[in-house]
Amino acid sequence: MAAQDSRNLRLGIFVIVGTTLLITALYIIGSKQNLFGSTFKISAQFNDVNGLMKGNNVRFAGINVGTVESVNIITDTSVNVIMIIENNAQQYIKKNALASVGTDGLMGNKLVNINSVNAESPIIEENDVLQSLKPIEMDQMVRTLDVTNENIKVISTNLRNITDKINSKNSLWNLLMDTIVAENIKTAVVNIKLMSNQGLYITGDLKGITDGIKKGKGTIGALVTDTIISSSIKQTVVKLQRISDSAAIITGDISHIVRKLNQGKGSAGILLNDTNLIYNLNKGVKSIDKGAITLNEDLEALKHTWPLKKYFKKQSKKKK
Amino acid sequence: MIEKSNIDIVKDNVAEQKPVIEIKNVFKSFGDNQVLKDFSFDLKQGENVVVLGKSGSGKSVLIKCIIGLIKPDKGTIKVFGQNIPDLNREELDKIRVKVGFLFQSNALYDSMTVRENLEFPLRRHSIKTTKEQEYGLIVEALTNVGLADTIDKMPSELSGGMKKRIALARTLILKPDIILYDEPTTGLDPITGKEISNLMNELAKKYNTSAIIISHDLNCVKIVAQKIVMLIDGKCYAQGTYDELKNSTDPKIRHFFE
Amino acid sequence: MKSTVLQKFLTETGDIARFSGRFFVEAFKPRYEFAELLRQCFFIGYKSLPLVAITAFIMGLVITIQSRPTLVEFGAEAWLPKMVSVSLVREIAPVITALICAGKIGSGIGAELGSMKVTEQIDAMDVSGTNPYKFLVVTRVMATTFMIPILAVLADAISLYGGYLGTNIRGVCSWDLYWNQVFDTLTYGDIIPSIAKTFLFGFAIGIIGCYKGFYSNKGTEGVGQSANSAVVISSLLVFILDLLAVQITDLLNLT
Repeated sequence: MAAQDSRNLRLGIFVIVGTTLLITALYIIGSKQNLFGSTFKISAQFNDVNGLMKGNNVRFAGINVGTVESVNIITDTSVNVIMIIENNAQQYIKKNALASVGTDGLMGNKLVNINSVNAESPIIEENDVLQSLKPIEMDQMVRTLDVTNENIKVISTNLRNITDKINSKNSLWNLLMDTIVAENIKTAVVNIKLMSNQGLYITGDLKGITDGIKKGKGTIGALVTDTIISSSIKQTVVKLQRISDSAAIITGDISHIVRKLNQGKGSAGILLNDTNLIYNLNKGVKSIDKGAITLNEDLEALKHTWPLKKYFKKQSKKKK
Repeated sequence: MIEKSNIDIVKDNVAEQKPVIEIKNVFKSFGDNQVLKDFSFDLKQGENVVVLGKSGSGKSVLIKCIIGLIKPDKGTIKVFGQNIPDLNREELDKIRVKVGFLFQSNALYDSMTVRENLEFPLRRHSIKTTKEQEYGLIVEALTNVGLADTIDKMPSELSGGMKKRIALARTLILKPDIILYDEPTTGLDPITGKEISNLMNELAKKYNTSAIIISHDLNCVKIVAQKIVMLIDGKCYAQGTYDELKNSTDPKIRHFFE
Repeated sequence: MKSTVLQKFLTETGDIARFSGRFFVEAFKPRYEFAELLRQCFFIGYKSLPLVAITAFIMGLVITIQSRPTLVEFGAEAWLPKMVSVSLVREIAPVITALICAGKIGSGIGAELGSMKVTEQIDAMDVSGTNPYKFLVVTRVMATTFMIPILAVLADAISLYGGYLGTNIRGVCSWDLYWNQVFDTLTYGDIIPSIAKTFLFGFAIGIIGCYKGFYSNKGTEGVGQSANSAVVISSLLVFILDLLAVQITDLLNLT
């Protein structure tokens, strides 16, 4: 009898360990898929979900905060994605956050990325619809060049010349003596100004478009009912403004230097010691380069977005 | 001595000569092999009957039909008035409490101790006993076969003769009215066989049982048989006492006694 | 000649099917043999654990070591826990458990019931007021049906631990990271079908072992044959059931 009791005891332990393991495993997996714990639902609409499926992860700022519950086609151009998000991520996600479809690694699963936008907005609530970001198509961006791009190339070459000269010890004196350098800088500044003006001009145009769209004016306005496009235009406008702002700052910096050089104030020693200046100069060149590329890409992308194609065509016709 | 006790039993039961087992026109075949052909036979209360036959002549089949392990193709087998082939499991179990069966190969459960082996039929037949009563019955049964000290041994530790005794104890623990012995002395040496035969007689006297004994061991037959049934060609070929049959002139019968 | 082989095969299949059908009839009728069921669970489940555990551990370790070179070729070494966990949980652990049990338990049941049959113990039980099918077959089949899934779960856990050690032989992957990756990869679609099929494996192993033992031919040679064919048929059935289970889960899109 005692032997049987100890047998039953061992059998009991065996069975309990086995079932506990199974239940724990199921629970862990369930909690990874947010089946337990409190969650809320939000959705976003995309043109194209690139094979996103039920069960794919949703990431906010790169952290898994939920899963995709369902992917449904609503119309010929939009797909609704419903996502389950953990409650404890709610406070960080704002209403104006942008959802985009991405990939985990090079060959990994599809996932939804939610990224916050630098603007004040209330916290997201249950059943909110997030704005979605159209995935940028690389080939469109790479394909063409633009006037602005050309301009910036000229500027950056000029500035690079200057910085190279400043950086090389031997030619430091040359820099101080050479008025051509000063002239170069001057031209650069002028070019930058020109570029940023151009940027502003485009910005203005875009603002006009978006305003028109918002008011529902004109043919484009009538055509564009999709909020996604208007939001992407908005973003572009914001970016453009930022670029032109930074261009203005750089321009200011450079003109400051030029002024110093022209006034003949300060000696080579001061210039030498002022490494900060050189650093700034370098940074300026780089950020202009970068800015120019993004601006160019954005503009290009905009041009190819279908409702704006017409607009730009009209513009070029007008110029002619 | 033995003769005397046999006579005593016969005398004791003279008044109650009603048959406890009635076998009528039983047929059984396995494939093309017709084992029992129109076999008929009655066992009366208090009788020890030996069924004598060649190996493979269907003796074991016959008693397995009686206990309900094998269904006959045709015919009736009435035990205490109930036709075995018609019974369902519950009814059969009730009959089986009253009919003990000693298997040729003892059929002791290898995985159980002697005690558990003896407990098994008690518990299985849902006989209400307390632990003490149960223990008492086991000890009694073991004492009857003279092996009270083997209670906690495993069957594999026992000799052939001891196994047979334990199997007998297990059969007797339910105090059956009829015991069916399937070749009780086969595989045992002559001395042990004789001991077992004597034990069978003793117990039959003690518990006033009837018995059908399947055997071809003449030493055993001589000791236990009050009546002998010759099973030849699937039929109840002849009946009679040991001496009657031994002196028979029929060559088929004589064949067994040579 | 050919037709007799075919006939034999079909007859046996029919007999096994009828034998299994009887299980469902008898299993739900009263007089439940709980004590015997627990005893069988102990012998079939608990006593098989060491063997299953060692095999599962080695399989986990070996699969991990063997998978590494291929993944390294793709520069996807970090995927090792993911890949190994899926193959272990979905296929290797349950099937290895079932095969080990088919060998150990199937032959054990075949031989035990076979020798009980030969020495008339099954008849003796019948005579002692016990339905031998219930007492011997139902308890054993139930025990295998419920114990093999538990063994498979334990085998999953142990083989994943083996995988953890395997990952750390040549690479570095912390305990937490390993399990995080494993559970990130695994879904219900991996675990539930793989455990569900082990119930089928268990049932098949039990029923074949019992069938072979219960209808063992007379003689000690018959016992050996019962044990042997129990192992052969139940191993084969494990693979066939595995194939069916995988196809069904695939068709139902449960994967």
